[in-house]
Amino acid sequence: MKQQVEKISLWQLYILIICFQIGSAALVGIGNEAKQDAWIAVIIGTLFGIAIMLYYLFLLSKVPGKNLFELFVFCFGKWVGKFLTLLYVIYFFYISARVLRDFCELLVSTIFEVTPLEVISITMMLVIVYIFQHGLEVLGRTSEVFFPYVVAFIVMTGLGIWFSGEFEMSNIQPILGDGFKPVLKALFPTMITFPFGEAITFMVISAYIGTKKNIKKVSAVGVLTSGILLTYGAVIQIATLGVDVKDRANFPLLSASREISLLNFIERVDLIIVFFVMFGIIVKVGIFFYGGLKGLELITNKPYRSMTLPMGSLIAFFTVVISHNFVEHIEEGLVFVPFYLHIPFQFGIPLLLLPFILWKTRKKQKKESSS
Amino acid sequence: MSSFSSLFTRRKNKNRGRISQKEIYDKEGIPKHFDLNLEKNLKSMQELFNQTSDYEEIEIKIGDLKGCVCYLGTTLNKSELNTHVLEPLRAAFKQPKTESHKDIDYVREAFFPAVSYKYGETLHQLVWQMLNGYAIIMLDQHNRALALNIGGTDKRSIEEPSTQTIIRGPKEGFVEDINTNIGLIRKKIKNPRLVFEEFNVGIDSNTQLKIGYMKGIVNEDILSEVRQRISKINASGILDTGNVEEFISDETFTFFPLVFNSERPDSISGNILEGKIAILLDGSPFVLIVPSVFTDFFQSTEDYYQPFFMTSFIRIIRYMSFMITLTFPSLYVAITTYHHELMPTPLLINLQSQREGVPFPAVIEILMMELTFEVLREAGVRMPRAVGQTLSIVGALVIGQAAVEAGLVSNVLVVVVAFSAIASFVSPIYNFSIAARLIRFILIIMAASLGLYGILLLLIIMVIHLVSLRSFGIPYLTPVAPFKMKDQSDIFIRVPIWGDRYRPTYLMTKAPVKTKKSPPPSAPKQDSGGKKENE
Repeated sequence: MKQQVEKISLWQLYILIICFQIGSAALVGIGNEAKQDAWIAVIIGTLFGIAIMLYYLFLLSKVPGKNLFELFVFCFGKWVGKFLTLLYVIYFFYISARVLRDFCELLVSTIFEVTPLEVISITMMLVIVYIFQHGLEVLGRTSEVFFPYVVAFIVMTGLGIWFSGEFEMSNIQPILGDGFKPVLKALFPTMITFPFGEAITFMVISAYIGTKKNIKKVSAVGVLTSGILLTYGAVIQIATLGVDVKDRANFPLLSASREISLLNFIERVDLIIVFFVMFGIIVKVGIFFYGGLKGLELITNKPYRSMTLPMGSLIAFFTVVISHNFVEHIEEGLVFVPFYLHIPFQFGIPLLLLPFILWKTRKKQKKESSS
Repeated sequence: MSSFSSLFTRRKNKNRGRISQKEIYDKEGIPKHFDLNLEKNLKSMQELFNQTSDYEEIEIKIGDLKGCVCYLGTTLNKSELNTHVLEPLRAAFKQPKTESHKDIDYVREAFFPAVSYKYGETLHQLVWQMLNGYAIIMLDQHNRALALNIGGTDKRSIEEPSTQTIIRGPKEGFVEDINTNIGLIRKKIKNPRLVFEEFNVGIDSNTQLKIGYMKGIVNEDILSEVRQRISKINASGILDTGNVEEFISDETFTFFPLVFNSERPDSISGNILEGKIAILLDGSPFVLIVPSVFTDFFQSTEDYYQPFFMTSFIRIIRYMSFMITLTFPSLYVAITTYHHELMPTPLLINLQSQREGVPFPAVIEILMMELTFEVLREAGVRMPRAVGQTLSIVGALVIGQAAVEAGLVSNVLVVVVAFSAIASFVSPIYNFSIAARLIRFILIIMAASLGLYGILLLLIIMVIHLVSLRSFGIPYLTPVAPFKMKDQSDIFIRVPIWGDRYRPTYLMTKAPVKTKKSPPPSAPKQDSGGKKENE
C-alpha cells in the first residue's frame, strides 16, 4: 500500500482537541482538591491550557512542517534527538495505557463485574489499531461523526439532572470560602498537567494540518470550548453530588447521571453515558498512540502502519499489568505520574527546547540574509 | 484541483491483461481487409456465420453491378428491411445502366435517402455493425460497404418503474434498450452540453456502454478516472450494470454500495445536472451514477416534488429507520441478556413474563426469527406469482401466531423483528438496506457476547470503515465527515428549491453555482399587484 499524505482539516483539529481533553477528564473528575470551587479551578486551568497550547504551537511554528520528534533531531542532532524521542514514545504509550485503564476500570466496576480487564482492553485496542491502519485522516473523520453525540450527551446529562430536580445550587456555595489556596492546590500540578498539559501530543498532530494559517486560533478556541464543557461538568458534579460524595466517587459524572429520572421511563442513563464517554477515550488513547507511533517511525525509519498491531497489543497488555488494582492505579495517577512524568515531559523538555530552537533558527536566518 | 488527482493514487494501476477487439477477430481468423472482390468478402462472411441460422444474404443487382445484402435476421425488424431496403433495390434492378450507379454514394442517395447509415471499410467494422442490427450492402469492385440502420427488434414499452416507486412525479422508467434510455434523459435535459460517450465492454459479449455527463459542469478528474476504470473492465460478459458496478467501485470488500443506481430518468437527470456521471448499459434498465456518497442513498426523487417540510421530516425518519434496522434486534438481545436495569421496571416485568415459557436464550430466539424472515423475504421475491397467496398466508400464520402460541418465541420478539424488517424497506434504494441486513447479524452476535459495549464497539468500527471508504476519490461520508457546511442544505433537511443554489461542493464541479441569487417567490404586494385585480 502506498504511503498516503496525511492531512486533517482545522475543523477536525478542533474536534480532536475537544474530544481529547474531555475524554477521560469528564469521566474521572478533576480539581477535587478545590472542593466546591473545582469549577473555578477548571476555568483558571483552561486559561493556562490555552497558554500551554499556544506555547507548543509557537515552538512548532518556528520550524514549519516538522513535528515534535523532528524538532528534537533538528535541535539536538541525530543521536540525542532519537534518545529523547524514545523517551517520549515510552511516555506516550504509558499514558495511553493509563487512559485505557481508566475506561476498563469504569466498565468493570459498572457493567461487566465478572469480565476480565483483558477483554475490554484488547477489544478497545483493536478498534484503535483499526483506525490507524487507515491513518490519521480516518480518526479525524470518525470524530466528526461522533462529536455531536459526545457533546450532546454531556449537555443533556446536565439538563436531565436539572429537570429531575436533583440540582442543588447551594452545594456550590460558599464560593472561594477557603480563599484561593485550595484552588491553587488543585491547579498545580494536577490540573495543568491533566488534562491541559497533555496537549503536548498535539505537537505531533499539528504538523499534519492541511491549512497552516489559523492553527493557533483554532487550537485556542478548541481548548476554550473543552474548558467550558469541563466547567459545566464540574458544576453538574458538585451541584448534584455535593463535595463529599464527589470526592469519594470514582466516576463522579456517572454517579451524578444516576440521579436522572424522567417520565418514569428515562432512568439509569448512566449506562448510556458510559458508552458515549467511550468515544472520548478512543480519541484520547488514539492520539497518544499515534504520537508514540510517529516517534517510532522516526527512530526506525519504517512506516508506522506496520507497527500498529504489535504496539497496540503491547498497550493492551500494559493496560492490564500497569497496576494491580484500581486504588493503586489512581494513587499512581495522583502521586507518581504528575511529578515524574507529566512535568518533565510536558514542561521541562519543551522549555529546554526553546533556547535551542531560537538559536538554531536565528543561525539559519543569518545564513539566509548573508547569502 | 491538483491535489484532487492524488486521491486516486490508492487504486492499483495494473494492466489487467485486457484482450483488445482486434486480437479477438484475429483469433477467429477473419481477414481484416475488405476485398475488392465481392465473392471473397462473402466467403469470409459465410465462414464466420456458416453455422448461424439467422444469417441471411440476398443477392442484388444495381444496373449490371453485382451486390449483396447481408444481415442477421434476428437483430433487425424485417418489415422495415423490406420497405426501406429491399423495395428500393427492386426498383434499382430495373434502372438503366449508367456510370453513376457504380458510385456507392450515389446508390445510397438514390435508393435509401432517409435511412441512417455508416460506411464500413474493414470487415471487422462490418461484422460489428451487423451484430448491432445493421443491414450491410456490399457491392462488387468497391473498397467499402454501406451499413444501414434498419431499427431494432421489438423492445419493452416504457412503463412505471417497479422499484423506487413514488406517489407524485414522473412515472416513466428506463427500459432495456440503451437508445430509448438516452432519449428519456434527453427529454429531461435539452442541452447540447449533455454528452454521451460510447464504450464497449465484455470481451465476448461486446456490450454497449455509455457514460453521460454535462460538459462544462462535470469534474474532469473524476471523468477521466471513470473512463479509465471502464476501459479496464475485463470480463467475458457484462450483462447488467450490476456487473459494471463491481468492476468500477473503489472497494469490493464492503457491505455498502459505492455506486448509486436508479431506474428513474428524473433521478438520473437530476444527478447529471448536479455534475455527476451516469453509466448506461445496453440491456439494463438500471443506470449507475458516480460518484455517490452515503447520503445519496437516503434521498428519493420524490423528495423534491413534495413540500420541503415533509421531505425534511421523512429524511430524518429514513436515517432513523436505518439505525432501527441495524440495532433493534441486537439491542433486544443486549438488554434482555445483560442490561435489565436500562428498562423501566413495569416494562421489564411485562417482557420477562412473556419470555417465561420460551425455551431458548434471547440470541437463539432472535437469530431464528431473523433467519426465518430472510427466508420469507427471499421466497417472496423469487417465487412464481401464482403461489403468492400461499406464502403470505403461511408466512403470516407461521411467523405471526403459531410460533408464539407454540411457545417458541415471545410476542415482543415478533414485534422487534417485524419492526426492524419494515424499517429496512424504508431505504429508497433497495440495495442499500443490504448493508443493514448483513451487519445486523454481526451486531446480534456481538450483543450476545459483549452486550451494549459490543454493539457500540461494532458501530464505531462500522463508522471507521465508512469514513475510510471512497467513491471515485470522494470520501463516502461527505458532507458529514469531512464536514461541508455549504452542502448541508440537502442532506438531513431539504431547503426550498429556490434556496438551494449550489452544486455539491465535494464534487468540485466546474460550475459550483447552480442559479443566480433571486428573491424568494412571494405574492405581489398589496399596493401594486393586489389593487389592479380589483379594478
